[in-house]
Amino acid sequence: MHIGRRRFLTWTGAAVGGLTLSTPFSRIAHANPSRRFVFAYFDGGWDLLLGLDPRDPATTNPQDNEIDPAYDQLPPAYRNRGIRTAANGLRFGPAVPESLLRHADDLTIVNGIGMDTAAHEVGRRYFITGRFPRGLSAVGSSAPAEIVAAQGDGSAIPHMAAGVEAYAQEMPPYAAPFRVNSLDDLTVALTPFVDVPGGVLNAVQRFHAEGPGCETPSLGIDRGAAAAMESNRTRARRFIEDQLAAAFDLSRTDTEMTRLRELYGIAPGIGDRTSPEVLSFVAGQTVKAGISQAVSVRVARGLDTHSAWAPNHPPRLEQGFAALAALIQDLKDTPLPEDPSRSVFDETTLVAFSEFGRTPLINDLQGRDHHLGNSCLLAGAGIRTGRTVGASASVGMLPIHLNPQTAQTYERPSQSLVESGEAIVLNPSHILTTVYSLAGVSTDLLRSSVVPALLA
Amino acid sequence: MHWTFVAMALLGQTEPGDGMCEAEPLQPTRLLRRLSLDLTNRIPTPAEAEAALQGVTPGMIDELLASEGFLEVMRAHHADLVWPNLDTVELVPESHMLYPNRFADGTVVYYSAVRSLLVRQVGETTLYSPCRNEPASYDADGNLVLEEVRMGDEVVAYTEGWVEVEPYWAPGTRIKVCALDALDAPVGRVCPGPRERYPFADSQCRGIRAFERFLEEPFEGSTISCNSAFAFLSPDCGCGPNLRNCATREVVRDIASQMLEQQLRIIDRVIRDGEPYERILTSNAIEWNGPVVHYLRNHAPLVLDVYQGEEADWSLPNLDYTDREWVSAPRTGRHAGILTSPGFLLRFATDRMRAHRYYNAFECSAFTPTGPLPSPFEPCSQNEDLTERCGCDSCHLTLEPLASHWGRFIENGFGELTEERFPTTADAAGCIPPIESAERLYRCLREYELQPTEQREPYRGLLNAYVFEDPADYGFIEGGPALRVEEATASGIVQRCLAERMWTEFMGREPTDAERSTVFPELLDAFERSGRDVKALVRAIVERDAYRRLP
Amino acid sequence: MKPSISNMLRFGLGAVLALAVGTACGSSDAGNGTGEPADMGPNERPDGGGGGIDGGTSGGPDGGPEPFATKSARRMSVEQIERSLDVVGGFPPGSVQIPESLALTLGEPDHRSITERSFEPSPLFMKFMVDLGGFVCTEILRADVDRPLEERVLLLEGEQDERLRSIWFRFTGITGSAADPYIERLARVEEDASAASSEPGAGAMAVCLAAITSPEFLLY
Repeated sequence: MHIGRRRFLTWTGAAVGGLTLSTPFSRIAHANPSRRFVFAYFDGGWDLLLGLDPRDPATTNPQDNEIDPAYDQLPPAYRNRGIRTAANGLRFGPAVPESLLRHADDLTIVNGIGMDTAAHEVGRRYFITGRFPRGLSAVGSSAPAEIVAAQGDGSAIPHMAAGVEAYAQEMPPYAAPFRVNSLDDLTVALTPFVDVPGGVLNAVQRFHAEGPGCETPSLGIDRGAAAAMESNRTRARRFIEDQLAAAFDLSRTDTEMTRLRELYGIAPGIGDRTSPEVLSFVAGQTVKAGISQAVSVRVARGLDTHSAWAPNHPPRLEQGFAALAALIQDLKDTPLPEDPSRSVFDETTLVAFSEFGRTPLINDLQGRDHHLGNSCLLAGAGIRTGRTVGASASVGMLPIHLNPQTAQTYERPSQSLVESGEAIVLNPSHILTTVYSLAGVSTDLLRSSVVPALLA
Repeated sequence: MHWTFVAMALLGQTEPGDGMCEAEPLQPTRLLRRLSLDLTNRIPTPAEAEAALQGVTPGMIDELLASEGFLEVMRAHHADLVWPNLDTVELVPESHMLYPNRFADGTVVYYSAVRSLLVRQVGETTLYSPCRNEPASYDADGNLVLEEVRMGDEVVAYTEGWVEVEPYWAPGTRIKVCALDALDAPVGRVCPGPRERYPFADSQCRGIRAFERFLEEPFEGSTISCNSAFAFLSPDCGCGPNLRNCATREVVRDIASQMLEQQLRIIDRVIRDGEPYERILTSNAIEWNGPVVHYLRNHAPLVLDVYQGEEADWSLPNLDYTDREWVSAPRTGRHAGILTSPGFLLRFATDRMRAHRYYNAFECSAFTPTGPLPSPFEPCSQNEDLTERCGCDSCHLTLEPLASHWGRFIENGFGELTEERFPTTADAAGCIPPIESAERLYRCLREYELQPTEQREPYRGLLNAYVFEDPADYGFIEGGPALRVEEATASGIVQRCLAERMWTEFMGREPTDAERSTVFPELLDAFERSGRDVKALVRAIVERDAYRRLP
Repeated sequence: MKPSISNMLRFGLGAVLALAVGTACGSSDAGNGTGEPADMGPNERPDGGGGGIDGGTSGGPDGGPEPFATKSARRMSVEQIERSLDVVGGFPPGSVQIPESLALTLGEPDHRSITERSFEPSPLFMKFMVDLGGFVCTEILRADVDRPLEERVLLLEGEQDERLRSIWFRFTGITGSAADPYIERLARVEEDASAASSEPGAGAMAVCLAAITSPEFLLY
């Protein structure tokens, strides 16, 4: 009874293709007008020199700075770009495409984030939850789960996690992540049950509705788990009733879907349904249609280039930034349902992150290893944009101190500045606490502090 | 104990000693279902369930523990510890990857995209040009006939026709392969290549001259083995007889899955045979099948960054790619169960990654920094020795000695760096220029500290594993990972970690403090008395009253 | 037992699920286990009870007696569902296989970017179980037609109560008086489905699907 992948794809494509957008999302789109949140994950540890924290090779060298931009080792397309400066003065590395530079006024680069780890799982889970993991195990819940729990159940799939780990500890069921790893998964979830006769399905639904039916305790049925099952069973039925599948049907040939395919760079044949472009498209559709309140999405992969960094890292990183730029553009192009004079982007806060940066020196295998410093990109609603906040050191690129109010940086802060909290080293909990302040989540949750310099 | 257990299952009594309040016992058939799912991954058959109506007997648990299903459960548990996934590892160099090119008439011809650049292209234009859709032709001297590809007046590439070859992965069938990619010479000339045959043969020699001064003989114009890491530099070197050096995506996927299977079979054997658990991490025994043997012999030597060791180190059986059965052939040297299996070493490319995974998975310990990093401008922040660099020292004081247990296994590969071929010093290794071959030069540069920074100067010429290593810890390097496992087993760390994990696996939750102090000694005692047979530990857990009661 | 084209057309999911009974269906290399590894040292402690269905027990409120620390309930893993449906349907081991890509979404790790198992009964999981159940139940019915009576799973003879008890026991292991309330509800399922659908076997199909998607089957 092997479920062949090819057959699977055939079925999902065919089943969704018949739907139209005639009655999309009207019910849920206005269910909760609160702010949307997108967390874009770059998988594997990104190179800061190629992206958010570039250095001029003319003034930075391995001998004096323990930093090797190594732009001269890059393939010609990247080598020739060098450092890229947007119209507003924001500086990016050579792997940032023009499409993202165009949004520079809406972006804030946060440099000099301390990760205190060089392990993928630890760094990833630290940034996902804002809490330093216990061993390798995540502590607490993903930021989207916290946000959804605070906002309430206001959409079909409140918390979507596309290709990213997600956690929900002691959360209401609606805050639990809806995990998908490919467009196919989503299609399966949202497409009507195609082989069960309606009468059978109704009878089965009544059976479950009469439950839980655990009349005697000697059966070992956990009431809480059974209730969660029933709740999710009901939610799954709603997906279908709301005809959500059409929003993700890339095979549609109407003008809107054609435009989206072009914007995200998805070939007509779609190809890899787990690609950064496809998952970014999924994130865009869920946010625009109000299907989700908080989305985490993997927009880049394969960045863990301990060897052969020069040929491999730049195109993969650029692919991620391009997918991110397409997502931002898509949100900007879409009027906010509740106020068409504004765009969905105006009500969306976006965080782009990776588990850590890569070492500023090239290793013996012509690669870069795991760096303890990191950067992230913030964008959208509530963020004071168009600037760079925080910095890494001119030697070795480790994070330096920052005044969270004024954004002044200090290479060698006085002891009194550090003790008074006027000079801090940023870490992921500062970033998420700041985002939480925009989402109605308690800013005490992570036992960290808001960084006012990041807020509009 | 067993009979008490059964009686209590029937009578619903609370087992004394757990010190907890009462909870309802499960119906026997529901208890069997729980046991069957936990221990064999499936619900009981109706006949099995019928037999349990009057109670779950010890014999039923024994049967479950002796089943193939239990091995599946255990291998999945261990897969979650060693993370078998080689998706991001370059097992076969791109120059030897064959991709199908489908012509308009439906003809499929396999070709190497990278060799299109290296072999067919001349000049600077990047042009992926597979061969033409026609049988290859040869001149009167037997040389392949090549046709010019022009862009305007400029010749940018040469192309040829295809030949039919019987691939090693599907004996008895024939596929079409571009003739230049299907070449099967054992050796080839490099830089310049055989100009008399291929007009484009020296287009890829840029960059090779930088290290030529370190070699005994000029690399340019020399002859190299087509089964070596520099084969991509010679137009003579194609895929070899029956395409043995090349692979398709499907073949690479197959090889990767078989290398992971090889790793998990070590676990199968130890559990099935009731060997002491730590043998998973110390045993020299390993099994081989055709795809893995083929990989070691025909693909690994082509990957510049992968050193696969010498064939003698592996005692490889003679198997063809299509031989799927597994053949036992113990490894020589300091091998240590799954911790030095090809799959594990490739998955975790550096010694630190290997040590970290082991430490976490089998000692249940983790590295937790003591605080944020100090200012990068503190002098100690510049220390290259991570055991002394402030902010890093708290973890690396433990990690560095631990990682040194893998010091004699190559990083980014899976070969053992034996004393014979990789003595402690570069002098003894013959790594002082001039060096006999380009590959040896590369290996010397990779494995020895030949160009030290100021802080590394005291370690000039040493094998990498010894750099910043405390001489008191040299024994860790020599002892390999097995030494660490043996020490951790002698002190009970490995057993306690396993008990913690097995409890969490079968109870669906972590143990409480009370359970750690009162129940675990009993579990570990049963485990030790069995000679550290995992089945005994699991049996001790599922026989606890807590296992068969309701939340 | 292999699907014919007409059957595949008739049963939509036949296009998704191809019965490979009788062919060599090796089990997945990656396999599936149970239990989330706890990456913590023996001396480290979680800072609170776990949540959801994997949550651990903790001390009683207000300093009351500590509840009996028992096994926590858990959703079946993908591997357990596959192997258990083999048993339920009377199919050879390895017959039911869920695509690897979907297994990832249903909670299996890929051991690269996702290294921990998830046992959440997510909406996608619940939806997929209906799809999978629909197909498996159809295949069981089809196989039952050719099976001797004593080997049948769904197409049984005899009184309704007896038949339903046998089916429920096969799926869930629940028997005796504990099964009584379920049998009442299953009887309604069978009757409602038979009345609502002209498809032969609709009642048996509904009973099968109700069982496969029930907490009593999926949780343990």
